[in-house]
Amino acid sequence: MPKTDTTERRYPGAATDEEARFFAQLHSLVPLSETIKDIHFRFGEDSDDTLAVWITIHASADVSPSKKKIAELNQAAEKLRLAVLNSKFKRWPYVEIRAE
Amino acid sequence: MTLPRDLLDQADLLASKERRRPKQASLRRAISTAYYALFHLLIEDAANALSPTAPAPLRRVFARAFQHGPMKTACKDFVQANAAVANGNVSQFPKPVQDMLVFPLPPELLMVLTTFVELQEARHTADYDLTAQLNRLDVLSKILTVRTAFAAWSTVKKTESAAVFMASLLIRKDWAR
Repeated sequence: MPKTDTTERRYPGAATDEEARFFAQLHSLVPLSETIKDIHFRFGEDSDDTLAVWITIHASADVSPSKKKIAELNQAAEKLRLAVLNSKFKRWPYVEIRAE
Repeated sequence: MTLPRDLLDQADLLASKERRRPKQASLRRAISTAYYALFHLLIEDAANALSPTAPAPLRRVFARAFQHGPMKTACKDFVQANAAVANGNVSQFPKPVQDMLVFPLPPELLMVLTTFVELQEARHTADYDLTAQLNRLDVLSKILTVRTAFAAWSTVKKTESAAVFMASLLIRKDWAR
């Protein structure tokens, strides 16, 4: 049986199918590089109980990161944040950087 | 105006306190301190803008009236109203409020508001979620974002949109009456 599209949420704050498709194509906004290793999205509700998405940028580990590296990460974060905020989805984006 | 800047400098010091492996306590306090730097910057300017100048202590009373939760909601409202208008929809603001704003809102103002929301949530995690493992790269990046927000706020705080925003920090709940 073909999978039907759903707007129902599987758990509080879960992405609908339409949102999942939107977020999947956001990967193309930020090309992976020496600094940016991967990008993940986690859906849920924030401390106000409103819809949110946590965007995790996986970056190369660095004990003393340079300002240039931080600026590059912040630029990527801003691109992703704006894409979510300017979309039709009322989901607040929180960006976190994980060093590994 | 020294407290917000001093707090921000202190956040930087905390984030870089340990040379190699930063202590979770240092990173958690760094995030919390960076958030409070921005919080105090906004309430100081909002209290100055909204309070009568005399008697002088009245400004401090005004400054005590700002609350974290409603401030975050106000920030979200403005950013989401801007996005709604950009997408051809109407904002959720009452008409008299909507009429005072010029869309698109200044990007510098939007940057300050998104930073406030992001940092308040990060502070919530840093202060209350002991399962979270903070890392220096993320903390330094957030502190730099707050520093950028300080610069953005200085360019936009005298605009009419910023004035409406500052008023909303106190009266948003009641302005639809």
